[in-house]
Amino acid sequence: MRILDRVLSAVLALALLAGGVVVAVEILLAGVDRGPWVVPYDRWREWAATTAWSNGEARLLWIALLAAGLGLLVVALWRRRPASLPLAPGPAGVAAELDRRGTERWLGERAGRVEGVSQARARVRATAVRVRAESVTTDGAEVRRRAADTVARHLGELGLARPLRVKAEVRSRRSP
Amino acid sequence: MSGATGVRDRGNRAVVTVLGLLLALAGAYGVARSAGAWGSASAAAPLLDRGLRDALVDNAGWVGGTATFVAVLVAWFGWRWLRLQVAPSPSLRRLTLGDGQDGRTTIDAGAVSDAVARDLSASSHVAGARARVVEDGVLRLELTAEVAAGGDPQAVRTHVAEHVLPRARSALGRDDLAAHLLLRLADPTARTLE
Repeated sequence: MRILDRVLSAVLALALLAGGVVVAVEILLAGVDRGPWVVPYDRWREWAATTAWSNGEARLLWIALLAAGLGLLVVALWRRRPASLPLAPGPAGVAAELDRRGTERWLGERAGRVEGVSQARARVRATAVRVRAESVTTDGAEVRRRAADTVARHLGELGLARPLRVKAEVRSRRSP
Repeated sequence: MSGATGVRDRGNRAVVTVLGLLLALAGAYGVARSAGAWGSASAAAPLLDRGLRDALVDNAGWVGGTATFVAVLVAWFGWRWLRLQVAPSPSLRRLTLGDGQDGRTTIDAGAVSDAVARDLSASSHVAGARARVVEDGVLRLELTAEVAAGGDPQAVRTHVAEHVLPRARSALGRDDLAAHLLLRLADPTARTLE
Protein backbone atom coordinates (compact mmCIF):
# COMPACT_ATOMS: atom_id res chain seq x y z
CA MET A 1 0.00 0.00 0.00
CA ARG A 2 2.87 2.35 0.84
CA ILE A 3 4.44 1.67 -2.57
CA LEU A 4 1.10 2.41 -4.26
CA ASP A 5 0.93 5.70 -2.33
CA ARG A 6 4.35 6.74 -3.52
CA VAL A 7 3.79 5.75 -7.14
CA LEU A 8 0.43 7.54 -7.13
CA SER A 9 1.99 10.62 -5.55
CA ALA A 10 4.79 10.65 -8.13
CA VAL A 11 2.30 10.35 -11.01
CA LEU A 12 0.07 13.12 -9.60
CA ALA A 13 3.08 15.35 -8.94
CA LEU A 14 4.28 14.84 -12.50
CA ALA A 15 0.78 15.64 -13.80
CA LEU A 16 0.67 18.88 -11.76
CA LEU A 17 4.14 19.86 -12.95
CA ALA A 18 3.43 19.15 -16.61
CA GLY A 19 -0.07 20.65 -16.47
CA GLY A 20 1.14 23.83 -14.78
CA VAL A 21 3.96 24.35 -17.28
CA VAL A 22 1.76 23.66 -20.32
CA VAL A 23 -1.00 26.00 -19.12
CA ALA A 24 1.47 28.79 -18.31
CA VAL A 25 3.15 28.47 -21.73
CA GLU A 26 -0.22 28.34 -23.54
CA ILE A 27 -1.34 31.56 -21.81
CA LEU A 28 1.93 33.32 -22.63
CA LEU A 29 1.73 32.20 -26.28
CA ALA A 30 -1.88 33.35 -26.49
CA GLY A 31 -0.74 36.71 -25.09
CA VAL A 32 1.51 37.21 -28.13
CA ASP A 33 -1.21 36.05 -30.52
CA ARG A 34 0.26 32.62 -31.15
CA GLY A 35 -2.10 29.66 -31.57
CA PRO A 36 -2.40 26.61 -29.31
CA TRP A 37 0.84 24.74 -28.60
CA VAL A 38 -0.22 21.44 -26.99
CA VAL A 39 -3.76 22.00 -25.71
CA PRO A 40 -6.37 22.70 -28.42
CA TYR A 41 -8.08 25.20 -26.11
CA ASP A 42 -9.81 27.03 -28.98
CA ARG A 43 -11.73 23.85 -29.86
CA TRP A 44 -12.41 23.14 -26.17
CA ARG A 45 -13.72 26.69 -25.70
CA GLU A 46 -16.00 26.28 -28.69
CA TRP A 47 -17.23 22.92 -27.39
CA ALA A 48 -17.88 24.35 -23.91
CA ALA A 49 -19.75 27.33 -25.40
CA THR A 50 -22.07 25.08 -27.43
CA THR A 51 -22.53 22.14 -25.07
CA ALA A 52 -25.15 22.08 -22.35
CA TRP A 53 -24.51 20.86 -18.81
CA SER A 54 -27.05 18.07 -19.43
CA ASN A 55 -25.24 16.87 -22.56
CA GLY A 56 -24.27 13.18 -22.42
CA GLU A 57 -20.55 13.77 -23.08
CA ALA A 58 -20.40 16.53 -20.47
CA ARG A 59 -22.16 14.31 -17.97
CA LEU A 60 -19.65 11.53 -18.64
CA LEU A 61 -16.88 14.02 -17.97
CA TRP A 62 -18.40 14.96 -14.58
CA ILE A 63 -18.93 11.32 -13.66
CA ALA A 64 -15.29 10.58 -14.55
CA LEU A 65 -14.14 13.51 -12.40
CA LEU A 66 -16.31 12.36 -9.50
CA ALA A 67 -15.06 8.77 -9.81
CA ALA A 68 -11.42 9.89 -9.98
CA GLY A 69 -11.89 12.10 -6.92
CA LEU A 70 -13.60 9.37 -4.93
CA GLY A 71 -10.89 6.91 -6.01
CA LEU A 72 -8.18 9.23 -4.72
CA LEU A 73 -10.07 9.74 -1.46
CA VAL A 74 -10.42 5.99 -0.93
CA VAL A 75 -6.69 5.46 -1.51
CA ALA A 76 -5.75 8.38 0.75
CA LEU A 77 -8.10 7.54 3.60
CA TRP A 78 -7.66 3.77 3.56
CA ARG A 79 -6.38 2.78 6.99
CA ARG A 80 -2.92 1.31 6.83
CA ARG A 81 -0.96 -0.57 9.37
CA PRO A 82 1.79 1.69 10.68
CA ALA A 83 5.30 1.01 9.38
CA SER A 84 6.73 1.97 12.75
CA LEU A 85 5.59 2.68 16.28
CA PRO A 86 6.84 5.89 17.91
CA LEU A 87 8.23 5.54 21.41
CA ALA A 88 7.18 7.92 24.18
CA PRO A 89 9.25 11.12 24.34
CA GLY A 90 12.60 10.40 25.95
CA PRO A 91 15.94 12.13 26.06
CA ALA A 92 16.02 15.50 24.32
CA GLY A 93 17.15 15.40 20.71
CA VAL A 94 16.51 11.66 20.22
CA ALA A 95 13.24 10.61 18.62
CA ALA A 96 12.81 6.84 18.49
CA GLU A 97 10.51 4.39 16.73
CA LEU A 98 10.12 0.64 16.67
CA ASP A 99 9.95 -1.18 13.38
CA ARG A 100 6.47 -2.75 13.16
CA ARG A 101 7.43 -6.08 11.59
CA GLY A 102 10.13 -6.80 14.14
CA THR A 103 7.75 -5.83 16.92
CA GLU A 104 5.12 -8.22 15.59
CA ARG A 105 7.58 -11.12 15.50
CA TRP A 106 8.82 -10.22 18.97
CA LEU A 107 5.33 -10.05 20.46
CA GLY A 108 4.28 -13.24 18.66
CA GLU A 109 7.28 -15.04 20.12
CA ARG A 110 6.40 -13.75 23.63
CA ALA A 111 2.81 -14.91 23.23
CA GLY A 112 4.07 -18.29 22.01
CA ARG A 113 5.86 -18.80 25.33
CA VAL A 114 2.60 -18.63 27.29
CA GLU A 115 1.70 -21.92 28.94
CA GLY A 116 -0.81 -23.78 26.82
CA VAL A 117 0.05 -21.92 23.57
CA SER A 118 1.64 -24.00 20.84
CA GLN A 119 2.20 -21.12 18.44
CA ALA A 120 1.15 -17.49 18.14
CA ARG A 121 1.27 -14.58 15.75
CA ALA A 122 0.78 -10.89 16.44
CA ARG A 123 -0.41 -8.22 14.04
CA VAL A 124 -0.02 -4.57 14.95
CA ARG A 125 -2.61 -2.09 13.74
CA ALA A 126 -2.90 1.64 14.37
CA THR A 127 -4.65 1.29 17.72
CA ALA A 128 -4.49 -2.38 18.66
CA VAL A 129 -2.48 -5.56 18.57
CA ARG A 130 -4.25 -8.72 17.53
CA VAL A 131 -2.77 -11.96 18.77
CA ARG A 132 -3.83 -15.24 17.19
CA ALA A 133 -2.71 -18.28 19.10
CA GLU A 134 -3.18 -22.01 18.84
CA SER A 135 -3.56 -24.05 21.95
CA VAL A 136 -3.61 -27.72 22.69
CA THR A 137 -5.57 -27.22 25.90
CA THR A 138 -9.34 -27.15 26.10
CA ASP A 139 -9.50 -24.10 28.34
CA GLY A 140 -9.26 -21.55 25.54
CA ALA A 141 -10.59 -18.67 27.63
CA GLU A 142 -7.86 -19.01 30.25
CA VAL A 143 -5.13 -19.30 27.61
CA ARG A 144 -6.56 -16.26 25.80
CA ARG A 145 -6.46 -14.22 29.01
CA ARG A 146 -2.87 -15.26 29.75
CA ALA A 147 -1.73 -14.52 26.18
CA ALA A 148 -3.41 -11.09 26.23
CA ASP A 149 -1.89 -10.25 29.63
CA THR A 150 1.56 -11.33 28.49
CA VAL A 151 1.46 -9.28 25.31
CA ALA A 152 0.08 -6.25 27.19
CA ARG A 153 2.90 -6.51 29.73
CA HIS A 154 5.59 -6.71 27.05
CA LEU A 155 3.99 -3.82 25.16
CA GLY A 156 4.20 -1.79 28.36
CA GLU A 157 7.93 -2.56 28.60
CA LEU A 158 8.48 -1.15 25.12
CA GLY A 159 7.28 2.33 26.20
CA LEU A 160 5.23 3.24 23.15
CA ALA A 161 4.01 6.80 22.73
CA ARG A 162 0.44 5.57 22.21
CA PRO A 163 -0.72 2.53 24.16
CA LEU A 164 -2.18 -0.24 22.01
CA ARG A 165 -5.14 -2.37 22.99
CA VAL A 166 -4.58 -6.11 22.91
CA LYS A 167 -7.07 -8.51 21.36
CA ALA A 168 -6.30 -12.18 21.64
CA GLU A 169 -7.92 -15.10 19.85
CA VAL A 170 -7.14 -18.67 20.74
CA ARG A 171 -8.00 -21.66 18.63
CA SER A 172 -7.98 -24.83 20.62
CA ARG A 173 -6.63 -27.88 18.86
CA ARG A 174 -6.84 -31.36 20.28
CA SER A 175 -3.48 -33.03 20.66
CA PRO A 176 -3.08 -36.12 18.44
CA MET B 1 10.56 3.81 8.39
CA SER B 2 12.54 6.88 9.31
CA GLY B 3 10.94 9.99 10.75
CA ALA B 4 11.38 11.87 7.48
CA THR B 5 9.77 9.01 5.57
CA GLY B 6 6.80 9.03 7.92
CA VAL B 7 6.36 12.76 7.40
CA ARG B 8 6.57 12.25 3.63
CA ASP B 9 3.94 9.48 3.69
CA ARG B 10 1.57 11.61 5.78
CA GLY B 11 2.20 14.57 3.47
CA ASN B 12 1.47 12.44 0.40
CA ARG B 13 -1.82 11.30 1.86
CA ALA B 14 -2.80 14.86 2.80
CA VAL B 15 -2.12 16.15 -0.73
CA VAL B 16 -3.92 13.20 -2.36
CA THR B 17 -6.87 13.82 -0.02
CA VAL B 18 -7.06 17.49 -1.04
CA LEU B 19 -6.79 16.64 -4.76
CA GLY B 20 -9.41 13.90 -4.37
CA LEU B 21 -11.75 16.31 -2.59
CA LEU B 22 -11.35 18.98 -5.28
CA LEU B 23 -12.00 16.50 -8.11
CA ALA B 24 -14.93 14.86 -6.28
CA LEU B 25 -16.54 18.23 -5.47
CA ALA B 26 -16.14 19.46 -9.07
CA GLY B 27 -17.51 16.18 -10.39
CA ALA B 28 -20.42 16.15 -7.93
CA TYR B 29 -21.35 19.73 -8.85
CA GLY B 30 -21.27 18.86 -12.56
CA VAL B 31 -23.33 15.70 -12.09
CA ALA B 32 -25.90 17.52 -9.92
CA ARG B 33 -26.22 20.46 -12.29
CA SER B 34 -26.45 18.23 -15.37
CA ALA B 35 -29.20 16.27 -13.60
CA GLY B 36 -31.19 19.48 -13.08
CA ALA B 37 -30.56 20.00 -9.37
CA TRP B 38 -30.72 23.79 -9.97
CA GLY B 39 -33.58 23.64 -12.47
CA SER B 40 -33.92 22.57 -16.09
CA ALA B 41 -32.82 25.97 -17.42
CA SER B 42 -29.54 25.66 -15.55
CA ALA B 43 -29.03 22.13 -16.91
CA ALA B 44 -29.74 23.29 -20.47
CA ALA B 45 -27.34 26.25 -20.26
CA PRO B 46 -23.94 25.90 -22.00
CA LEU B 47 -20.95 24.95 -19.89
CA LEU B 48 -19.30 28.25 -20.77
CA ASP B 49 -22.11 30.77 -20.86
CA ARG B 50 -21.96 34.02 -22.77
CA GLY B 51 -21.73 36.20 -19.65
CA LEU B 52 -18.69 34.38 -18.33
CA ARG B 53 -17.08 34.30 -21.76
CA ASP B 54 -17.54 38.07 -22.21
CA ALA B 55 -16.19 38.74 -18.72
CA LEU B 56 -13.06 36.67 -19.47
CA VAL B 57 -12.50 38.49 -22.77
CA ASP B 58 -13.09 41.94 -21.18
CA ASN B 59 -10.59 41.21 -18.41
CA ALA B 60 -8.13 39.16 -20.44
CA GLY B 61 -5.16 41.08 -19.01
CA TRP B 62 -5.46 40.37 -15.34
CA VAL B 63 -7.28 37.04 -15.82
CA GLY B 64 -4.39 35.83 -17.98
CA GLY B 65 -1.84 37.13 -15.47
CA THR B 66 -3.58 35.48 -12.54
CA ALA B 67 -4.02 32.20 -14.43
CA THR B 68 -0.33 32.19 -15.40
CA PHE B 69 0.66 32.84 -11.79
CA VAL B 70 -1.57 30.02 -10.54
CA ALA B 71 -0.26 27.65 -13.25
CA VAL B 72 3.36 28.42 -12.33
CA LEU B 73 2.51 27.91 -8.65
CA VAL B 74 0.92 24.52 -9.45
CA ALA B 75 3.96 23.50 -11.54
CA TRP B 76 6.34 24.56 -8.75
CA PHE B 77 4.35 22.58 -6.20
CA GLY B 78 4.33 19.55 -8.54
CA TRP B 79 8.10 19.82 -8.91
CA ARG B 80 8.68 20.00 -5.15
CA TRP B 81 6.31 17.10 -4.54
CA LEU B 82 7.95 14.99 -7.27
CA ARG B 83 11.40 15.65 -5.82
CA LEU B 84 10.21 14.44 -2.44
CA GLN B 85 9.22 11.09 -3.99
CA VAL B 86 12.48 10.66 -5.86
CA ALA B 87 14.94 11.97 -3.25
CA PRO B 88 13.19 12.37 0.12
CA SER B 89 16.18 13.33 2.28
CA PRO B 90 19.45 12.57 0.57
CA SER B 91 22.41 11.78 2.78
CA LEU B 92 24.92 14.58 3.06
CA ARG B 93 28.28 14.00 1.34
CA ARG B 94 30.31 16.61 3.15
CA LEU B 95 29.85 18.53 6.35
CA THR B 96 31.27 21.96 6.95
CA LEU B 97 33.04 22.19 10.30
CA GLY B 98 34.37 25.72 10.01
CA ASP B 99 33.99 28.56 7.54
CA GLY B 100 36.13 31.65 7.88
CA GLN B 101 38.35 34.10 6.04
CA ASP B 102 41.23 31.62 6.05
CA GLY B 103 39.22 28.93 4.36
CA ARG B 104 36.71 26.24 5.01
CA THR B 105 37.10 22.94 6.85
CA THR B 106 34.93 20.09 5.66
CA ILE B 107 34.64 16.45 6.60
CA ASP B 108 33.39 13.44 4.68
CA ALA B 109 29.88 12.73 6.01
CA GLY B 110 30.36 9.03 5.20
CA ALA B 111 33.24 8.88 7.67
CA VAL B 112 31.05 10.52 10.31
CA SER B 113 28.27 7.99 9.60
CA ASP B 114 30.70 5.06 9.93
CA ALA B 115 32.02 6.39 13.23
CA VAL B 116 28.52 6.95 14.59
CA ALA B 117 27.45 3.43 13.52
CA ARG B 118 30.50 2.00 15.32
CA ASP B 119 29.62 4.01 18.43
CA LEU B 120 26.08 2.70 18.31
CA SER B 121 27.21 -0.90 17.81
CA ALA B 122 29.36 -0.62 20.94
CA SER B 123 26.25 -1.12 23.06
CA SER B 124 25.74 -4.73 24.15
CA HIS B 125 22.03 -4.26 23.36
CA VAL B 126 22.79 -3.65 19.67
CA ALA B 127 23.42 -6.45 17.18
CA GLY B 128 23.99 -4.18 14.19
CA ALA B 129 23.72 -0.51 13.29
CA ARG B 130 23.58 1.86 10.36
CA ALA B 131 23.83 5.63 10.34
CA ARG B 132 23.59 8.47 7.88
CA VAL B 133 23.65 12.23 8.14
CA VAL B 134 20.79 14.17 6.59
CA GLU B 135 19.83 17.81 6.54
CA ASP B 136 16.26 18.79 5.80
CA GLY B 137 15.90 21.97 7.78
CA VAL B 138 17.79 20.51 10.73
CA LEU B 139 20.99 18.51 10.79
CA ARG B 140 20.09 15.00 11.89
CA LEU B 141 21.54 11.54 12.36
CA GLU B 142 19.27 8.84 10.92
CA LEU B 143 20.12 5.75 12.95
CA THR B 144 18.90 2.19 12.51
CA ALA B 145 19.74 -0.30 15.24
CA GLU B 146 19.08 -4.03 15.31
CA VAL B 147 18.30 -4.74 18.94
CA ALA B 148 20.14 -7.87 20.07
CA ALA B 149 18.14 -10.89 21.22
CA GLY B 150 17.36 -10.17 24.86
CA GLY B 151 18.40 -6.54 24.37
CA ASP B 152 16.46 -3.60 25.74
CA PRO B 153 15.25 -1.00 23.21
CA GLN B 154 15.15 1.70 25.90
CA ALA B 155 18.78 0.98 26.75
CA VAL B 156 19.71 1.52 23.10
CA ARG B 157 17.93 4.85 23.13
CA THR B 158 19.70 5.86 26.34
CA HIS B 159 23.02 4.83 24.78
CA VAL B 160 22.30 7.13 21.83
CA ALA B 161 21.30 10.02 24.10
CA GLU B 162 24.21 9.67 26.52
CA HIS B 163 27.07 8.54 24.30
CA VAL B 164 26.47 8.51 20.55
CA LEU B 165 24.80 11.88 20.11
CA PRO B 166 27.04 13.88 22.51
CA ARG B 167 30.15 12.47 20.83
CA ALA B 168 28.84 13.28 17.36
CA ARG B 169 27.87 16.79 18.48
CA SER B 170 31.26 17.34 19.99
CA ALA B 171 33.09 16.02 16.91
CA LEU B 172 31.10 18.19 14.56
CA GLY B 173 30.86 21.21 16.86
CA ARG B 174 27.12 21.23 16.30
CA ASP B 175 25.03 21.35 19.46
CA ASP B 176 21.87 21.43 17.37
CA LEU B 177 22.52 17.96 15.89
CA ALA B 178 19.44 15.76 16.47
CA ALA B 179 18.96 12.02 16.10
CA HIS B 180 16.19 9.80 14.85
CA LEU B 181 16.47 6.19 15.91
CA LEU B 182 14.66 3.28 14.27
CA LEU B 183 14.83 0.15 16.39
CA ARG B 184 14.39 -3.29 14.88
CA LEU B 185 13.72 -5.95 17.46
CA ALA B 186 15.65 -9.15 16.84
CA ASP B 187 13.88 -11.95 15.04
CA PRO B 188 13.49 -14.49 17.84
CA THR B 189 13.25 -17.33 15.34
CA ALA B 190 16.51 -16.47 13.58
CA ARG B 191 19.41 -18.85 14.13
CA THR B 192 23.07 -17.96 13.85
CA LEU B 193 26.01 -20.28 13.20
CA GLU B 194 28.75 -20.09 15.78
